[in-house]
Amino acid sequence: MHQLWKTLRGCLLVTVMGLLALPAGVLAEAPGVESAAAEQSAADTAGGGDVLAMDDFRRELRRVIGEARDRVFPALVSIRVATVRYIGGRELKGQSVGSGTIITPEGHVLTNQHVVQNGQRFICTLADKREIEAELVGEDHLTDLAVLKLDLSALEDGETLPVAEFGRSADLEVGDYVMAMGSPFSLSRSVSLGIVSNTERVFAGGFGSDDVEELELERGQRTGLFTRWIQHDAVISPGNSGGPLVNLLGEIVGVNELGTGPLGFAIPSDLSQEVFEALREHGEVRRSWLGLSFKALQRTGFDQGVLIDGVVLDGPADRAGIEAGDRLISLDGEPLTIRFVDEIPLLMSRVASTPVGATLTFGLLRGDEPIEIDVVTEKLDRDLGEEAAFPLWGFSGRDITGKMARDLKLDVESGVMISGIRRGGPAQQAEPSFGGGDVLRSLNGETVTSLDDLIERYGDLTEGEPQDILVELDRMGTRQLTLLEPRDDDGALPPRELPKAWIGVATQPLLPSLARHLDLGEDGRGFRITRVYPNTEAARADLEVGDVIVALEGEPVLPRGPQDGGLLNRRIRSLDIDQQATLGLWRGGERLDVTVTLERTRLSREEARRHEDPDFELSVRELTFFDRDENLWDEEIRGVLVEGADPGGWAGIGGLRAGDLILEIDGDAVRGLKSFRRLMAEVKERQDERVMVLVLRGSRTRARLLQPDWTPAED
Amino acid sequence: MIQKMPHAVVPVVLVMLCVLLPGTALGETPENPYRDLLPHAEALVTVKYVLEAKVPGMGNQEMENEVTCLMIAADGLILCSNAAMGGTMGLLARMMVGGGGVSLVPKQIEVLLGEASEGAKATVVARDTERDLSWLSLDEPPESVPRFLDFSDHASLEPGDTFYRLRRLDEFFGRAPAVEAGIISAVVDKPRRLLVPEISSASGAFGLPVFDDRGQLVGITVLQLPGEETRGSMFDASMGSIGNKMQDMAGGLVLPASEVVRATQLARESMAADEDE
Repeated sequence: MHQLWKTLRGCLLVTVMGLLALPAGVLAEAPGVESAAAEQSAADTAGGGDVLAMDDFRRELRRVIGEARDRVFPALVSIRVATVRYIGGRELKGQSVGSGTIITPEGHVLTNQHVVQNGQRFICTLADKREIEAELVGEDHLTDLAVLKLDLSALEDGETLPVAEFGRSADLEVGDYVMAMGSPFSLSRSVSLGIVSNTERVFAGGFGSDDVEELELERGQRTGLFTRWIQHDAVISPGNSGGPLVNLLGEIVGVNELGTGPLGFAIPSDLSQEVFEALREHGEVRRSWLGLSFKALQRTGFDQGVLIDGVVLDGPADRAGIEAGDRLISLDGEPLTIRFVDEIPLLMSRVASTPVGATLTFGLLRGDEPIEIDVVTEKLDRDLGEEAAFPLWGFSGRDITGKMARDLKLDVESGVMISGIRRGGPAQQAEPSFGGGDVLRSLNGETVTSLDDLIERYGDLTEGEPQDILVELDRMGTRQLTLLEPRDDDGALPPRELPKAWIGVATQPLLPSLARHLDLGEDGRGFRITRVYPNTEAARADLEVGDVIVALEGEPVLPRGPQDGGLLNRRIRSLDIDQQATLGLWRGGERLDVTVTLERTRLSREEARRHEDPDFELSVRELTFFDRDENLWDEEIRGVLVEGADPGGWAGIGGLRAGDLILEIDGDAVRGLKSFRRLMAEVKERQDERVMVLVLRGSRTRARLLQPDWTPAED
Repeated sequence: MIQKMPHAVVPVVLVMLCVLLPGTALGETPENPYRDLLPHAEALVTVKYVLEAKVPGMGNQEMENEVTCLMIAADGLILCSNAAMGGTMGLLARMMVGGGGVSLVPKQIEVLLGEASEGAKATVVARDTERDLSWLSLDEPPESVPRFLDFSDHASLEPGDTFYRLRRLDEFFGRAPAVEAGIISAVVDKPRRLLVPEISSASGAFGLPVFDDRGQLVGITVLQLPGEETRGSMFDASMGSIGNKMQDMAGGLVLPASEVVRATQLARESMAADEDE
């Protein structure tokens, strides 16, 4: 116990030392902290009085944390995003979650770009647990920041939103207390406390390398070029992304972006605020680009300037004559020296913030020779183009950006790059097939300039009956013609099994080792009935569980081993449907003959008819005899079985899942596939905002509220 | 006791022997069964389709596939191996309990008839999983009577007899017809009557016609996997043992033509019943 107290006391002393490292402003503006520290100092001096001082300090700390929390917590939101990704030429819906902060009374929410990435629909949960839809204002991949705007029409008249304020991240120092707020693992809001570990973290190659590592949000899309992250040890987890990093004054000093456990990285608030303003005003962040990368001088042997270690071919700097190996010693006449890797983002920011089309004068050393070169900046575009899927054609495509064209060596300036091909789809079946990386140049002889153009053409060409389309593809510099032949294959059904004779019983083979414990006379083997299916001819013939079948139509059916487990049923299937068959069996030590009318085999699950609802992204199938038997559902229970619901679709978001038996839609009974199709068509016709679906899940019924959004998707 | 046969009787006996011994009759035994069977290859058709597999938890998967099937009637009825139509996914599903919940739907089916480069649309009208048969019907009746194989006119073989199997090479080789010969090594009655080729002439290709040395149909090559009732006993074994079992099941077993005739009759009745519905 004494040891435990010593440990705790040690921790508290460390806490005090940490708090003393807070910026002066924090101490001054956090009433009580200063006096607590003074008391602590006095207690330390006097000795022996530290327990009392610790209690006071703890109270003060709790109060300061509480006040800071209360300035931000009401503005904290958790964000649920219905996403769509493109894999193998298909559109895959899903959901992602993250956190964000309301930062204006107009309802702007600041979060990470990777939280809203591929988002189609955004739902924010406010502090009072209300869910409000939001729309995307803009996103900036290079800083991983995005801005949403809440739908204020969902608020009550006169209601205002709680708003959190930015603090200055430049004022942060290593050791300062910070709080990470958010919704880890999509759980309700939480806060964790830590200290700043580093205020200018950049990711270098590691193991002594001074090369800046390029992070990628997704393959081919860089991020963090201008960011010196705040590293801290306030615990963050998946779901915290986009949540605020808060100082003890209750100000946002960062936006949590990366990390695991106690190793967190936040985008500084100063950078976040700049990006937010640009996104709010323009919907994008306009930046300049030169096509250069830099290396700090540390361990290079140089003591002046910064080394230019990469030049993009045919980029602005390349065309101006700058070469890799040059040393930049002044920019627009201002001397420049960068010794350490963590200073690189500042230079990148400076270049990026230059107006597009402006001229920058580079003072260079080429070898020992000083030269000056003027470079005209160009607009920095996204690395990756937008993507979309074309389901009836069986592929997905991407807009081509300058970086993609350079990286993939595409000799094109327009068109759409094929990013995925669905197996078995028209694009794969075309001869020649589409290939990943091909550039779609024209449809039916008309040039395709961009993804938007292709989306528009897709809409036109897929109206009405499917039609063949002549496609020109650019493949490694060759122009290939091929033919897309879309098919309308809705309604393709699983093939039906040939009907055969069947007796409605389940059996187990009784082998001699087991059979010798039963009284089976000279037969000594047979098939023991383990279940008699209700409402079958077998039940009507009064077959019973425990009966042992030893003959069929006078022929013995005696299994010799487990390999004969199917012997009886094979023999039954070789007879005719509706035939009267005589079963020789043992029951209670007596040998009997029982006549049974052979029935037609029942529909298997594999053969069951299916239906897919594209609006709700839900697939269902008809109930089979064996579903009823397995679930002990009698004939009175009618409905359709859910086979799958896309997680990001309306049915998936509403909570329908595989295995649910849909009993009713908006109070109308679903009796089978036909009535399901009719009721869903009526829902679509009415464009209902809410659809109540009653399902049977396990042993209980559940009402699932689906909330479709019938608003046409924007191109 | 050996008696010397009068010279005058010898030609008469030889003629009688030729008439009485099956497969050796003058005028009936083809001089070159390989060459004589090749015209039957016109009844072999290429079926191209997209197999849609609905796999629980994995969504829909689609695979393009191509198999060789047989035209078996003048009205355009086509017979395929059901296993071949189900592709690899179908085989894997059949080895899982309850089929793994996988539903397989062949769609966008096209049948290449003769030298046609454009396919005729067709639909799977019935299947018999345990016999490994699947029947396709052309959506539009053929414009002229196609060359077909008539299974009702068939022969049977015994162990030791020679069989001839007709197949087509890959499209890379122009789908050229080829004839392979082998010996029937066994005839089994479990799980049903099947002819077993000797291992050296076994083949993993299903849905191919098999003839005797007079060019009469004997049956069709099929895959025979155990039903669910016996699957555990069949596959709870060492890898070596499973290998032997698979060799037996997938080595080009021949389903006798009589079985094909009976099953096809049921398939036609089933088609008629579906039309009535």
